Amino acid sequence: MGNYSFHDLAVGMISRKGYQFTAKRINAFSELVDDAAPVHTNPEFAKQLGFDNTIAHGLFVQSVISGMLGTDIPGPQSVINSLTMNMHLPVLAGQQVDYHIEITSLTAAVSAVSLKYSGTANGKLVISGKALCSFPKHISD
Amino acid sequence: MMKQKIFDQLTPIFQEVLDEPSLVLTETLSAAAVDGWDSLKHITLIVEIEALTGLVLSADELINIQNVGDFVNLLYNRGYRG
Repeated sequence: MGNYSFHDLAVGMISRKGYQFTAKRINAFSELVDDAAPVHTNPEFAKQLGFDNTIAHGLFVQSVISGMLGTDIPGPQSVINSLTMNMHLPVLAGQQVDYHIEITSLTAAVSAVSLKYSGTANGKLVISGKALCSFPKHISD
Repeated sequence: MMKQKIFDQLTPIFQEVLDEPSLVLTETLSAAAVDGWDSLKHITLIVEIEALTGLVLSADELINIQNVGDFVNLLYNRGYRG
């Protein structure tokens, strides 16, 4: 786990993580957020829609990024200001997504960190986006 | 005229960040007058303004920013001409 201050960070720093989207985890996420959409929980229904298995919620796939931002870079002393998300392919139950985060710029005046992220499954891009994080001493509201 | 060019370049940034597509920037426009111009959005504005101008601003320069006119004057005084 990183525990960086803003001044420890540098453009180009990266973080990587693999996460397995098991059916058990997808079902748990469905229950947690009260999302009963059957494409996430019912394999037969998912197959009727043309998927080989149930698919993970897009926000579940993105949520791993939240954890990486909060525990590695920028780390526990930062908060997320904004996240964008582009979904490229569905993530099927049983697939592993390999995530990659990279710092793209630093704005020292407001201790802000801009990052880009991506996730691949079987070598194919499934999610990408950008994040803006900051160190809360600048958050007054 | 130079400052007007900076206003013109800042306008789409403020509109996008503050989610106010019809926002018109004036010298006196300040955070108090725009719903949603909170401290988090202010950080995003600074990040986007640095990206636009290529300038690296300091906390000391930003501490006295009260309105859009102050932003424009700061950029102009730092040599940015749009």
